[in-house]
Amino acid sequence: MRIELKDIPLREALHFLGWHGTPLEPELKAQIQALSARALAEIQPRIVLRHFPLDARGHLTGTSFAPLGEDVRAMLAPCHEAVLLAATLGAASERLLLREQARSAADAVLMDAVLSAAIEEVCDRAEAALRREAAAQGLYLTDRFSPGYGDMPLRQSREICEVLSVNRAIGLTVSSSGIMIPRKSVTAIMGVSRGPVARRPSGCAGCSARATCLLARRDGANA
Amino acid sequence: MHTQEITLLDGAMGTMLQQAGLKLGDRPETLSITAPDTVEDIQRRYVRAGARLILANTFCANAHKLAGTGYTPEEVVAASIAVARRACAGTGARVALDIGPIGELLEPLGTLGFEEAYALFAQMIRAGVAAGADAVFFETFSDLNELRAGVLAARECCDLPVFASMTFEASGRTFLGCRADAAAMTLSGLGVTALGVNCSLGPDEVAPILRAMRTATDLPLILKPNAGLPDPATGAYHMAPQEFASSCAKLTECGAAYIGGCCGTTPDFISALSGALAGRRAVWGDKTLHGICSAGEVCAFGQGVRVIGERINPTGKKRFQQALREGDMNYIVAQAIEQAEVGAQILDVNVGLPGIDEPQMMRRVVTAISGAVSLPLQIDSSSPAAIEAGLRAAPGKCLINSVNASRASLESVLPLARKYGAAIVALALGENGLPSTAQERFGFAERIVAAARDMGIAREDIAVDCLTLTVSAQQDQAGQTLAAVRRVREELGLETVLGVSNISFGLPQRQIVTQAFLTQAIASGLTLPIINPNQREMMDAVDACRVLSGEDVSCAAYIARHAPARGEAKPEAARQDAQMTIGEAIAKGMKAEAAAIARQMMENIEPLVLVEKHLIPALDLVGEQYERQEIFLPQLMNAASASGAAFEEVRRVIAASGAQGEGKGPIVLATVEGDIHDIGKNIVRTVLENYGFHVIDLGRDVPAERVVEAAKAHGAKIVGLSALMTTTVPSMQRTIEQLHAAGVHVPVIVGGAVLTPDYAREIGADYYAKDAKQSADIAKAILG
Repeated sequence: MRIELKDIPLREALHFLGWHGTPLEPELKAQIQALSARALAEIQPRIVLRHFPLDARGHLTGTSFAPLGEDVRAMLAPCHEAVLLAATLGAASERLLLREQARSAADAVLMDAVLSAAIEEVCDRAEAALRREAAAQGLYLTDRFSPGYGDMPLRQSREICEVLSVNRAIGLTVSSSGIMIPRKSVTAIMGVSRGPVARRPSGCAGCSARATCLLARRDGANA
Repeated sequence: MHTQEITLLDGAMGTMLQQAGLKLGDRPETLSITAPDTVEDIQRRYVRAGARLILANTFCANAHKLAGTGYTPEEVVAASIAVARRACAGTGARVALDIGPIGELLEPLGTLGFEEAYALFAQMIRAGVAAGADAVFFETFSDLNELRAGVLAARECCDLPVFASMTFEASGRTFLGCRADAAAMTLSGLGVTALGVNCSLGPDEVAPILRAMRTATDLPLILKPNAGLPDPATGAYHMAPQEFASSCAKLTECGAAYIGGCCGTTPDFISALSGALAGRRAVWGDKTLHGICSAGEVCAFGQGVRVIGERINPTGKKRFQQALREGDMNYIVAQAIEQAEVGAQILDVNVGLPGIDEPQMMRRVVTAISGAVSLPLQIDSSSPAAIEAGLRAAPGKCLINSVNASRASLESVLPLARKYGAAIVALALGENGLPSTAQERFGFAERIVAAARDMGIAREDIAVDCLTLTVSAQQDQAGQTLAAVRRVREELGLETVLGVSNISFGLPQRQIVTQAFLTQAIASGLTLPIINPNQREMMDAVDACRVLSGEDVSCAAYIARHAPARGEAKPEAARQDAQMTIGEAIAKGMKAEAAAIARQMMENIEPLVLVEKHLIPALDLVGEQYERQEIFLPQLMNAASASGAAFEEVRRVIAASGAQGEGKGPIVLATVEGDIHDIGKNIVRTVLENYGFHVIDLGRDVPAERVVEAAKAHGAKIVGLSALMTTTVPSMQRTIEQLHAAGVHVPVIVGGAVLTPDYAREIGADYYAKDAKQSADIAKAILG
């Protein structure tokens, strides 16, 4: 499924650049906006998602996929259904990075952040749509949980990719060292429940890596 | 007009296996061993429905996809072919080895090497041949280069008919941006039996894609669409078999000769096809599109002037030579991007330099360029091995520059053109030196055309180079060249090439003469000028000639390019503030200004003084601001880029003076094997270079052996390694171990998101750097 992205949030891009709230020169802002415009003209965001009933053991029915780790299992415990999703900005995002890298290392750094913000935005939109759908049916949706969060092993990303046939569906691949390529791609699982579910605090506050993460939003920079 | 009987293919296997209880995420191919009856039953139903070519259950039976299943490709392929043969027994239906994508992206976007992909396919193909497959069927590819690796493996490992099919989006392109006509143009040159479209969409949506393929090939087409478009909510397909069949039947008129179904189709669909196609034959006309292509772009011949950019060539360019010697792909790719942006339509690639392994370098450069620029390539070399390396690596149909009329050249180059489906530049030159008349040139051209015909190379794939000589040395030759161009166009009707710039060698203000010659040559029938597109005079002349010939309809392109832009400052005119210092230009990240001021300053001071007294102090200042969090990463990088632009001027001056070993170091940098996250490494490189260190950047996904080799060859003083993922840190450890094992005991600095100082020590690194600034501090402490 294609997703049309109309803009890429500047603030999110700045976050990926480690911005800590210092004054933003107009030239730099314009530079980032120009790169965002170029990115929007070339990237082709695509997403695939599918609902699966959860069985008594917490496995996704009709698949060989069983989420691993205490955190994700706790999240899914109250749920009767899980949604798997995979999203990517497509091969054009890799080409953009290669091109900027040859041209200017500074622009490459900015483009990398812009594209990170873009894939995050794609997932946020898909999640918002799922949330609306669930609410319309009187159902509740958990957080979006990706392999690598908490104690869910990163290697489960490959399993999600297999279940969703991501190569055929959205042109996403997983390298032999476990890296999703295009790099600007996300896999995630969400639970659907008949009753309200506990949500983690959003953003860095809910992340187990916040103590050592260079990008963690601290102090007032989270404005 | 071509016509052929229709062969009915089968329908979906995955859909049927899921109905029979296959779990998503499991490997369907292993069912040929664990549940052979289920697979055989499905295939038997397809045969009964009328399918005459059955695809064995081998789609993902490659060594990478089967890893962890406990089965080898040989086992799965043998079992799957045996099952399919049983299903076909006694019916006359045949069995094809089915091959899908490996599931990993090839270089340069991914990490899988072309030859690695080739080997994975070759393993399956050998197993298929041994098991008695009747054909090799590639399907569902979206990367033309991966498919090329497979087709080459099939052509080189067996004599079976080869089918090649790709999957497209409604835009007419694959996920990787491959065009349908480019796919057809490329694949038909590789000796396949048929090519076409599978999966993708329903038959009605596939129709325009198939028609686009039709323009670029004379081969029969494969049509294997889905059962319409899936329901976005459930993924289910709803098209009725009859409707599917009648939509497919219409496409026999554009040469669909191998017809079946993909996702969502069942034996009912094949029965319906069998009925709808009864008594029909596939018919089609000759292709109308000639030329060369990359995966993403077609450069059509016979439709006017097509500019070939000449800048990827080390001849007479010190800075380019240095980039080749150090494997600096960024510099070379930047030259490609620049030419593409100013209007080049084909890029000439020449990497011939004494002391360089030319085939190896050709492969690297072609691969690197193809990641960033989508123009078709002209592979330019006098070495057949280098030509072959380039043709193998390039995703598309290339032009070979060149083959001449000598026996040695004809015998070594024409077979390569034939094997890889490339077009050729026929250089009007023979064994006995340069021609001196138009008649001699014409004679050589005819000789090459005849030899190419005997080799099975189509006339439209030949472009004749009538040889430009230097007018200041042989003034009578310019007229002979032009006369020959005219004859080749008029009498042979072929495309023509000229290395235009040669004309003015040795003269002052060369561009004046070159431009005049270019204009005259185009007027005489030159269609493929090899020029420097960065020279405004050349592209202006091309623009004007296109207006005068009528190629630029309504002068639209000319007007778009030459009408004054309103309210827009000229970007190339660097606003140079009279009082601005180089320090200010760097702090503000102003690249053009920093370069201009550096040029000016080097008129009075030595390049190294500029570095020591001005560039490094300016960077130190910015670095301190960064550490105090007064500025953040993009500002640091902009400053480094501006300083980099000044450094580029320094390098140019030093390279031109012939001095070697500029800067302290060298420092060898690499993102380790398996990892392609190189942003951090690139930041480190930029900052180190701007502190005057000589950096040799090996790129990303670099095997340990190459790091060791480079550290030895360049006498590295420091090695810097980066890895972002937990999964690739072991590769970093292996690299350090191999450095030590090879006796390279220089300090190793490591960095990357998942590393910590402790972790770094544990894997044997000497230093851990948390960011680029710290890397530079460490390097300064080590090297002074």
